[in-house]
Amino acid sequence: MAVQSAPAVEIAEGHRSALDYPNIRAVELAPGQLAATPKRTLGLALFVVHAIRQFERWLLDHAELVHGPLHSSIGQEAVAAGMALALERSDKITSTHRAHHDVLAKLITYAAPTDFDPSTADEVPAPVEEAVLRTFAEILGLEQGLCGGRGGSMHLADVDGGVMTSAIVGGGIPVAAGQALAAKLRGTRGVAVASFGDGATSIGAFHEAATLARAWNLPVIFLLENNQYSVATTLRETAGFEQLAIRASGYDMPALIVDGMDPVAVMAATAAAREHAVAKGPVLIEALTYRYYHQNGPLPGSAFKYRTKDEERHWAALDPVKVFPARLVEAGLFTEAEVAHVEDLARALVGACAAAVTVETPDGVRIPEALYPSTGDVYRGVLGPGVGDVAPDLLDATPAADAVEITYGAAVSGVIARWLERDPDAFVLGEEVGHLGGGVFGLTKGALATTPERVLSTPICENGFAGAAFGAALLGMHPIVELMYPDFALEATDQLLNHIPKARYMYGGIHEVPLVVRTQISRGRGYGPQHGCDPAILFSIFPGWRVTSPSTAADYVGLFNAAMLTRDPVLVLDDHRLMKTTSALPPAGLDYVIPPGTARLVRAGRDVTVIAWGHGLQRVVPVAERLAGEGVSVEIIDPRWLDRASFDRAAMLDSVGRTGALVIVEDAMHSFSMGGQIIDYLLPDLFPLLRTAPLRVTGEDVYSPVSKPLETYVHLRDENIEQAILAAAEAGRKGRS
Amino acid sequence: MSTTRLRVPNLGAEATGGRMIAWLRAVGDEVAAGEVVAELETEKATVELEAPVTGRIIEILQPAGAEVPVGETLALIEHD
Repeated sequence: MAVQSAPAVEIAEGHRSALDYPNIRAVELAPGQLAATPKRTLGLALFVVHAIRQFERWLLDHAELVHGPLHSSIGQEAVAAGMALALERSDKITSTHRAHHDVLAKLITYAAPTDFDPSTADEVPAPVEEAVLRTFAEILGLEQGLCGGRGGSMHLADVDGGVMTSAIVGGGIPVAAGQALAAKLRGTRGVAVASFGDGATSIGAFHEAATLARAWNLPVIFLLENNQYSVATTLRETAGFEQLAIRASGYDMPALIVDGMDPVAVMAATAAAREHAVAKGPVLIEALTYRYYHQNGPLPGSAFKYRTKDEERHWAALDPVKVFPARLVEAGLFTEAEVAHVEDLARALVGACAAAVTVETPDGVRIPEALYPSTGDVYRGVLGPGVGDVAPDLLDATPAADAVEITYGAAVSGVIARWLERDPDAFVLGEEVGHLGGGVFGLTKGALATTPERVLSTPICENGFAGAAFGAALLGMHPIVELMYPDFALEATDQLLNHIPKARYMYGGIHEVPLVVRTQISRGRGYGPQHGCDPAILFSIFPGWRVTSPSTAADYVGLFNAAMLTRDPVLVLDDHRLMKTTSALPPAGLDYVIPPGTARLVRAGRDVTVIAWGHGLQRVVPVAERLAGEGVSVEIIDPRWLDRASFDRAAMLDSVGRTGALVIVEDAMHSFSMGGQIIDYLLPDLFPLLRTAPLRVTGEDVYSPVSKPLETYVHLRDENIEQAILAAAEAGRKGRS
Repeated sequence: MSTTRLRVPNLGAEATGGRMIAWLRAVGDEVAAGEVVAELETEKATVELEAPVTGRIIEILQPAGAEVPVGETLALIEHD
């Protein structure tokens, strides 16, 4: 029935101006504020602005030396300079694909000796030149770059200097939230700045990070560098409105709008935001600015017709490289000679960088071949070296004579609690982990009893909290991330797959990412197609993840400890069907360690090798026992570690060398099976050892249906295991005779 | 007097060259440094080519319509 009368509920008129919102303020410099700013600070701001401009100009003019795109920050220098000068040295920033300005500003202010005053200094201090040169060399893809040439322009990191950039729009924002979380947990009173563009306010990572930062009142400054375009798309098209500071209102978060062409105004805004962030929680700064060039490369945006030359002229008249020094002179704070000196110093700095890594030839400027990284070193830093030196008694797998059996669930809870107890940098985060007496599966019960302050229940934002864990891990914290169900990893693929496993490599193999993700395989619970995956394969195809799927309580302890000790990203899987199984712990108890590359011989046999782990192993053992009565001798090996780098190849080849037959058993649906990967790990040595084709037993190739008989049918079935083992063993025996 | 070449500038990752669409100045014209003297078109962009120096155009080597790679000399400008 149509409503005939006027609606009783009135919709409030939208389209308010940003300043109508009580949480938003415009930053106006007070009269005299410029003059009240220390001259050295103003000189540094001018130096940073010029250094960025000279640096970017040189790169654009020599774009043929840069392999890949150059997202120039020309026009946005004042935002970075003002931001960095308001920070403490130990503060952190994350930035974007357009980050040269942010990185230079942060590293210059980080490296500058306290007596460096650009208006009087005869030369640039060596640490500043070193920091700028390493950034310059990285963008050129050189070994001496910040990341050994692996990251280049869009993936820059120097954890000590406090910079990290991501090429994925929004990717760095949750990371900054995590760095702020680290500051808060450690009580450093530091802040993290997430610098990002207007386009990033459309993506979930921004909203998840803002939610997390506000929920936990983290010391984050969301620095929105509003240059008004996502490539060629305007704010009208991407947001429907133009004053993006309004976004902060939805988080009940204060916001400041500032002239991003004025470094002193940005400095004032950042200083105020910093104080608020440390005391109370996150602040958003919208800095209004403009990129003078197109998305990347040396052409203006107008060449692509998405904006006018008039608009570009308007912003060119506000150029901080010209306006800021003129203001300093006009205010009587600097002489003409002084501002010229600062510019010369910046030019000399970039000239020195160029001279350090290029040579002039008759054909133009060239980079000597010797400066590029060696291809012999191309795998450097994908993973760390493993668990390091572990005391032999912690590796002893023999259960003590008086050992008490514990359940798998108690092992999970116990070893997590043990880590939080022994490592002040360790913490757990995930949905509900701090509630319900130990999370939805009771696995943080132990940790909640001893260190509840480091068991953090998150909002429902997997990409946000996975990214936060990553950011904290980059600073040496030791997060344990709980994904309530494995399939929820798909919510966080940007952080879990496009950031975490790549970080160690793309940032030059220098920065550890000590982070564990644990989740529970939930097949067989009637949770259906969207909760029922075994995610081992998903993580295994991204080098940089280690993956382990412990089969027993004792193994869970040993493998979880190894996962934490490697200081690499590790996925640790458990399975609800294992939770009530019991095993006796070795003498080291909750400190027992099973390093990567250590398979376990579960059962010795002659006729066929079966590789199985987790729930699949539990299913294979009784089948093997039964077949033993029929004269079939089955060898079972649990690889424990499933990723290529951690897989115990030698143990598998040794076993197959003796039996000549191989069956891989797992419960995953066929397309999510590890079996194909495992066979690939064993090539080319596997096939000469086999007397019959390797067989794989998996679940049916459908997502888990809810109906109980259907779900039971599509998962691993004992008759399939038995048939495969018999077929392989028989063919193997025939081949042998 | 010396001569400076007007070349197809670096066009970034967007293009390795383009097509001359118009000469706004002719042989014999006096031009100022920074003045737009020609237009070039890439697949995505229209690029204004500026005189690199103040002087006089003495030769145009690539007429409108010509396909030109980055670095190609388009004109010669004579100057002090």
